[in-house]
Amino acid sequence: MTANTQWEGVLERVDAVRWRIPKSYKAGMRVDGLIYADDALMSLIRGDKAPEQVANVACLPGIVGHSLAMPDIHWGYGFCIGGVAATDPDEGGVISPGGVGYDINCGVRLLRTNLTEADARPRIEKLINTLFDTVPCGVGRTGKYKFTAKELRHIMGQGSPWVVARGLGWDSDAIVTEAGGRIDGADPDLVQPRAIERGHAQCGTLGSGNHFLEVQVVDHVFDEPAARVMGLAKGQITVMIHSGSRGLGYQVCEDALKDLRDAPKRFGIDLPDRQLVCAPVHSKEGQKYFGAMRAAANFAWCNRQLLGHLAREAFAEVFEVPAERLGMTLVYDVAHNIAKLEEYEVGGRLRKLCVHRKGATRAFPPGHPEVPEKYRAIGQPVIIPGDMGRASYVLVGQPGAMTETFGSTCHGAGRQMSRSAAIRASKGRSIYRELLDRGVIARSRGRTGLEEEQPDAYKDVNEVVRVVDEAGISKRVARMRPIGVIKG
Amino acid sequence: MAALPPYELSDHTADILLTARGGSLADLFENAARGLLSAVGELRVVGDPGELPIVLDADDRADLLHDFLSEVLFLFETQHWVMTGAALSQLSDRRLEARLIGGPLDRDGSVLHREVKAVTYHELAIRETEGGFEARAILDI
Repeated sequence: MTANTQWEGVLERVDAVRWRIPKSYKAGMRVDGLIYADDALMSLIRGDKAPEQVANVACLPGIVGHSLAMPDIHWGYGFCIGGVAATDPDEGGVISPGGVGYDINCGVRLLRTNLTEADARPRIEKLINTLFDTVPCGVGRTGKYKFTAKELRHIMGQGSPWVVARGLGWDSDAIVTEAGGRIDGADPDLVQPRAIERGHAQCGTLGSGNHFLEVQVVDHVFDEPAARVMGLAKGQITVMIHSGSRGLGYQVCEDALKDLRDAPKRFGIDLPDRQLVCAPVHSKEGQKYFGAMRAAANFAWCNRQLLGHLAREAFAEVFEVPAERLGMTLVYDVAHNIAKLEEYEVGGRLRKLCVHRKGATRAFPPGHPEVPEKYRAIGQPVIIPGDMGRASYVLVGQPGAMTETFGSTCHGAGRQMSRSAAIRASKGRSIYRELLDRGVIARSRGRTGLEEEQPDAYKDVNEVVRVVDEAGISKRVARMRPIGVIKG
Repeated sequence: MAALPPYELSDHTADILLTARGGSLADLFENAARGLLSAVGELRVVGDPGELPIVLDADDRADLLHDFLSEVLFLFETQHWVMTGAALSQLSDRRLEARLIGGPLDRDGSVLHREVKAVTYHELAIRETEGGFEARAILDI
């Protein structure tokens, strides 16, 4: 599928959905690598260097358990995309900006509606056009909302509840957002001026690349009781939003990589890849990144909050009733690029670990105290975007995630085709027309956006979620198919 | 060198691999910046060309290239300023002094492809070739 060479390293089959890279594979590995995949997905995963990156991450000081990879992994920079690594700060464990990525708190938000496909179909074109006009997307598009430097500090320090308090959302929104839309320990003072300059006009913008806003129909329900709790039923319209911390987050990562470049030498850490630069969580350098990263994460929750608000406004305009009457409540908002301190029982004792999720989604099981009360009995909703032609999913976290994956599961379909290969594969075709034939209206600002993001560029999300379901780390609740999408 | 283009964008699973070449280091840096912006789109500028002086210090040559490209990206993203050329007055392994030549983005005349989030350090390298220099950098999309 790509010009990358086949990975020829050591992989041992554990069972039908688990593969181990033994720590003997490579000098410096402190723990085994563990990849979740079936045979078909593993043959795709071997197609690039992602497994080598799983082995590289296993070299990080203080890493606990396994260097983990979800079935949607692919080659990233430093960490693979789809990776999870937990380190123990009390045992020299590190925090690595590369373990979070440039798009800090990139994540997904799912809104439900009272509308059915029959309600939406007659107005779908108008709806998608209105969303495309309402939601800023694409290169260099600034937001509808302008914030002063002081307001940006509130955004970074207080997260989405601050935005909601200004009337840009509903009170219930923050309750069903991971961390309540506000991660503690954020320090806006640690965000450097260049990051503010890059991101200040971008709160409330979608961006480009794989970011999108999608109008969907619930087309299959796997778990009726859980779906009912989320307000989802077959035939119903949902809205999914995928975006992150925009230029502000990218620059926080960039600045941290620079700040930390000498840290590995200073702390005597030998790294196989510069993009893995890191510092002990308990060090001044580590804390500096952690504080700035959390500020960027809060910015991202505000961004998705504003994008959700804009979507409600567009729906209200097109259906000519207030969004409240359309029942557009937030189902959940979850991050998939983040590092957080979380408690896990490892080796018979409770330890507070620094969990890096880079292209992996938190998946807390039923009963976990951080799951909102509404979902406490069913587990935390996990939102998995697929591709714009096939499907996306809602899952819930399962107990297996607590014992095996530090409360984590997959985050999407995962690319299987490079961007240029996708463009080549589109020669002589109209992806717009093909999507239309599948019942999907697409609008994109970038000329090559639809080609690069075409369904075939991704693995089959149905297979990815089947693996995490079978592995017992999360469970399928509902599948949605797209009927309209806007992209940058 | 004649047969090889000054820059190319090629395959990396989710992102873009930028390869740039130049007979001299200065040419390499300029071509790499052009290549970077070509990933963003077919960019045109409006009005008379302007100049922006920049001075960068870094640990090594590859690092300097990374910082140079990041600066060009930063100017584009924050000011919609498009570099069309560069006059490098000093370029050692650790220091770059240059006047960037360019102007404001012509939105109507440009074709925008995608945002580049960052120039990564992953597999970032400059090597000497028969005809001069070649650099590789992975762009995060």
